[in-house]
This record gives sequence, structure tokens and C-alpha cells, in this order.
Amino acid sequence: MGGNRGATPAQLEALYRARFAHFVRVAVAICGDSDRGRDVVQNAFIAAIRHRRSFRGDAPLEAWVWRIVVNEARRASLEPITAPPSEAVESMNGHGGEEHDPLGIRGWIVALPDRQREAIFLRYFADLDYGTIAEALGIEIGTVSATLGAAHRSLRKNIQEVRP
Amino acid sequence: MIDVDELLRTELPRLAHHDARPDWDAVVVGSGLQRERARRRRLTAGAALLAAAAVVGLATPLGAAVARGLDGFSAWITGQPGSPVSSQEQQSFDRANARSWVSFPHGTKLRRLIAQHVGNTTVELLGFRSGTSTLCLRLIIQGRSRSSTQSCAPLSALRVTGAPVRVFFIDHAVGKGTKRAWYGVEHIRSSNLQITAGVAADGVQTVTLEDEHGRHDVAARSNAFLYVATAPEVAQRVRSISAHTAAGTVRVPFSPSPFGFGGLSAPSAAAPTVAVERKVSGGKVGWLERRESRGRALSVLPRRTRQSLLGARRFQGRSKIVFGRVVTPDSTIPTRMVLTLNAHHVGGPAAGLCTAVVGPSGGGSGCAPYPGLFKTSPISVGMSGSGAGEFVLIDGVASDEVDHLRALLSGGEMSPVPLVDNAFLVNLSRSNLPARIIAYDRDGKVIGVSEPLRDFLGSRNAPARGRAIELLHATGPSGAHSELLVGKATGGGECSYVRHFISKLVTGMTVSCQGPRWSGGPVQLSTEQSPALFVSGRVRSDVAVVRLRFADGSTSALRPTRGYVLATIPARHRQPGHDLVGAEGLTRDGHTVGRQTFPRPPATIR
Repeated sequence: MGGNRGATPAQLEALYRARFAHFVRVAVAICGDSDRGRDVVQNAFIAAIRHRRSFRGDAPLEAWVWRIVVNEARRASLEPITAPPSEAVESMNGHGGEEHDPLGIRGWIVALPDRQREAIFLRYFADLDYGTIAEALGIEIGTVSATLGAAHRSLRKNIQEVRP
Repeated sequence: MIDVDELLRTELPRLAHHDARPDWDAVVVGSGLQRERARRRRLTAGAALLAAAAVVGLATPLGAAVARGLDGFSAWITGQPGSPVSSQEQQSFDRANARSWVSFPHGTKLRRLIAQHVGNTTVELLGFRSGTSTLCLRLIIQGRSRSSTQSCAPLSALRVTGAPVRVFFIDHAVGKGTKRAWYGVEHIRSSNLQITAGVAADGVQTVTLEDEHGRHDVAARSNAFLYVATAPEVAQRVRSISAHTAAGTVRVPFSPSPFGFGGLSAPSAAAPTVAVERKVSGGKVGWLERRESRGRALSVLPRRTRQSLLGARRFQGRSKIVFGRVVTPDSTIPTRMVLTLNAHHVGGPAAGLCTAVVGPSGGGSGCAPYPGLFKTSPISVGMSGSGAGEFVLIDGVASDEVDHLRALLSGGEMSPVPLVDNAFLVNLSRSNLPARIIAYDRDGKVIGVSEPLRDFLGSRNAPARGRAIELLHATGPSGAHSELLVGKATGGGECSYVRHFISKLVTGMTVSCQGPRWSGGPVQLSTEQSPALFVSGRVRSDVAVVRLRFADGSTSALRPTRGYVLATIPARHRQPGHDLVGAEGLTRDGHTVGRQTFPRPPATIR
């Protein structure tokens, strides 16, 4: 593959329909609000449609879109929430629902460094392979492996401390 | 050492669930793609329809909500696909609807979508919006075979499947064909026609279906498609469907229609779930206990329905029904629910809650102890449907603790479930199963999660094409006899069929299909009645001798044939105290590799 081939609306639509729930999960997890997470995905695909001709085709289309979604979610996470976050308690960055998370996984993940946290979201919410995660986060595949390894070690240590 | 990878795989999805409904139309509009296309096409009809949907959306909040979510089904949103049926047909529908006690909303307008002539038969596909939330298709077959059927789905179902085509009927069989084929001991006849139909979004040009006869392209017309398979093979089934638009091809999710004993089993995917946020116990249906006159009286039920479903030949003092009413959880679908509190005996206190789901062509019912029904969960859920319908009807009752319900579909999407008078009904697409019904309290906390609702496709191991052959035969007194046949199974294993003819009134057949690899104990025998006259079953390949053990301590040895056993139990061992109590499997060198005991009947009937 290679060259400037662009993406078609049909390809983007198929990806949108096939992976919408996964995109929303990750977006919500990164930006911390359900409504905003959904908007992130909508905006990301609007951007993808507008800039579809800039897709070079040297990586899978899905990885290219994931990168847009992640960047959009990062940007959204920096904006203040002006309205009550109706379902923020459901999000990974939220503060509710601890009673269903006896190991405190939610809290430990929130405490991870940004890159580790995003890698975890992409790996376990979207079931992405290391290559796609690398494209989405703009890092090398080896760095993905190291990042997830570090996140696992940190989580293992913290969970072992609280496990009965 | 904690396996963090596994822990995260299982726990993370549970911790984050979101009501994620795709809305591609919004992307198209927001990105300017719509304008771009419109310019290119010089305002084609598709763009005009989207504009019409937008007008509806601006005009009413409901319209806006629908238009935002339905991804191109704007003709169905505006309710004007196809053409009106003749005034005579509409009047006929109106009269029948007015007569029916399970009617569609007044003012429902039929639309003719597609008509196709096949030989002397005409297949017509009609469609209509029922209320604001339900879409129904009706198939009318006239000619050599005359029949009609209909299927309804919530409009919300259009938005969750994520494809521009939604299947409503899948291989709906019409009439008798001329082809025959053996499947085990069944000599099955083909259908005259098999019909697959559904609705299509605005931009769909053709729909391609694949079955045993090849690929078939049908044009999308009036926002619908219709495929009629003529002279289908026995067990012919549509295996894939794809929709073609100007922008590309999209695979359409659907569940194949099951055949015979099964053999089309879908992979048993795990059902998504959410955590219960507040535990509730001991709920009740207050209005039933208070005998409030909600819905309609039981007398509205047709007499036959009343008798068959409720088992009550007379009311007012002679029935075990303490109190009951007919309620309408969703007025847009022609189905009602009957809720009754029943006593153990006439005049006794309420001890059970019975529910019946009643539609135009009958229904089903069941009872459960009350209020024990809600001891562990505030909802009780059932499912019904037919193989040729893509949608199954989910029904149930909820305790007073439940404020609202949603269906959590296999892809993680949420779909609304109407709840009225503690009863609920909703049509779900089989391609969205396994699903669960989620119950919420007034604060929006999850208080109940149903068991997974799974598709009713048959077992992976089912009779395959080919006639079963007789392997063993046994005779008993007074002409009683039994035969054991074996045939191929779809999963590569084998099916066994044991037919018993004990008397004119007592006959039966047991079908058991196994995969190519042995599963279960080494000895798997059964008897047909008590006291047993025949013993039959299968044993593992290393079992060379089966030793039957009787209650008086005596034994009898059998040699399996190709791993199967069928034998007549001697007369002296059909007496109490001498009957069959167990069996052992022995290898060639006499080692016991498996034992089995037979349940003994209660003393009262011995």
C-alpha cells in the first residue's frame, strides 16, 4: 500500500457503523463524559469526511480514524463541563459506581499517566492490536508494548494491595 | 499473580457502558457531504427526502428525535413509502381492525410497497407505520397458495442494527413444493415459495441475497425489498444479504431461519451486561393486589382464548383467578398482555401471578408463585417468535420498584422498552441477540438485569441430510417393539433415533445428536417408561460389554453394536423389586469404565 489514495465516504460509513460503540466507549473514557464522548465521535467522523482525501493509505483506515477520535477526545477533555454531566458517573473518569468496582480498577486507571491510560482504553475497550494503537497514539509499536506493560505492572501492584 | 490482562478484559467493559446510537445522517450533514452530493446529483430525490425529514424534525420534537437517529430511513420517518392501497383495501383493513380486540391504532394507513407475480401466485408486500414508534410489514400471498403474515418492529430497531436494510421476513415458507429430502427419520417436503423481505434506506439501489441457488439481486423499491425463491430446495436458506448504494456495499445483519431440528447454530456470543446498582427484593404488582380496573376486563378476551390461556371455563366465583385484567404495554403492536392473580383453589388467596401474551393468532401463558416471583429480580422475562421472523417478541412483568426498562443489545446499544401497568412488550431483532432487559428505578439506578435472551436457533448437532438406517430392533409383549436408527449429524457426528411402540396409545421417539467427539459419561442409557420395557442408548467406544444391574441383585450382559444398545428387559425384571436400577460399562479386559443408575419411580406408583 502507499500513495495518496484517500478514503471514500462509504468506507468511513462502514467503519462508523461497525465500530461506533467502540469509538464512543474510548471517547467517553478519555474525555470523561457520555454526551461529550458521543459528540467527539460525531465530530471526529465529520472531520474524517472533510479530510478524507488526505488519508495516505500507508496505514489502515481504522487506525487513521482512531487517531482523529483520540485527538478529538483529548481536546474535549480539556474543555470545562458547563452542564451537569448526566452520565459522567458511568465514565472511567467519573466518580460514581465505586460499589461495583471492588478492586478499584476505575480509580487505578484514572491515576495512570495519560499515555498508559489511553493505551489501556484502546486495547480493552476497542480491542485494537498494537499496530493500530501505535497509529492512534502516534507512537512506535514497541512503545505501545512498553506502555501497556508499565500500565499492567502498576495496576497489578495496586490491585494486589487492595485485594482481600 | 493477578492476570491483569484477563482482569481488564472482563472488568473494563462492565465498568463502562454507554447508550451509543449511531447517527450517520448527522455526520453526513455536518461534514457537508450532503451538500456535496446534492450538488453532484443536482438535487436528487434522495436529498429531497432528507430535507423532508429535516422539516419534520424541525416541526416536532418527536420528529426531530426520529430524524436524527434513523440513518437514512427518511421515507419511513415521513410515513410515505410506496403508494396507498386502494380505498377498498384500506376500508377492508379498517373494518377488520375495528372488529379486532387487538387492533392497530385508529387511522393506520396501508401502503403498497412491492408486488411480484410468480407463476399463478402474487406476492404483495405492504407496509405501514403503527402509531409513532412501530413499523409493520405485511406479506399477502394470493393464487395457488393463499396466506398472509405480518411482522412489526419498533422504529428504534432501525437505528441499532447499523445497516441500510432491515430484514423482517426471512425464508417465510409458502405452500407445498414438489421436492423431498430425508433428514434422519423425517422425509421433509420443500415449500412452494420462500420469501425474504424487509425495508431499505433511501439510498439503497439493490439488495443481494445468497442461498443454495446462488446470488440473487433484487431492486429496492418503495424503500423495501422482496425476494421470492421459487421451487426452493428442502432446507434452502438465505445465508447472506448485502445492500448496494451509490457509495458502496454494506453487509446486512440478520439471523438465518432455522431448519428442522436446528443445525444453524450461531456462535454463542457472550451477552453484554451491566452491574446491578441497587438490590431490590420482594416486589409486587400493587394495582393487581388493590384490584384496580386498569386496562380492560378479562371478558374482552375471545372465549376460546380465555379458556385455553386462562384455564377458566367460568368466571365470577368459579375460577381460581382472584383478579385479572388485560393490559396494553404498547398500543402500536397488535398484542395484549393478560395479568391475573391466581389462587391454588377456588376462593383461596392469591398465590400466583399468571401472564398471557395474546395476539391476533393466539398466544402463550405461564404462571409463577407470587410474590415469590420477584424475590430475586424485579423483572420476569419471556420470549416468543417464529423462525421466519427476524424479530422476536420479548414480554414480561415488572414489580412496582421498576420505573423504566431498556433492552441491552448484543452490540452494547440500548433500546427503549415500553412499560405500562407493570407489563412490557418489545420486538427485538434476532441479529441483536443475545440481549438483556435492564430494569431501572426512579433514580435511574439499575435494579434488575435479566438472564441473556438468546436466539432460538437449533443445536449445532442436528440431523443432516440423509436417511437414518435401522441398527437395532427389539420386541416385547403384545406387539410392543422398539427400533434404534442412526444417521449423520450436521456437526460431523451422528444422530440416533429410538422409536418405541408400546401400544396404540403409547408411542414415542427420542432423538439424540452428538458431535464427532465423545462427551459425557461412558454409559448413556435410558428407558422409555416405568417399569421399563426397553433400555437403549449409546456407550463409549472402549465399552465392550454393558452389564445391566437389577434391584434383586441379578445382572445381565449386552454387547453394544457400533456403540449402541437396545434390548428388551425380561418380564421378571419388570416387577417391583426386580427392575432395572443401573448399568456398567466394561472394557474388553473386564475393567469397569463407567456406571449409570436409573431413577426409580416414587413408591406411590410402584
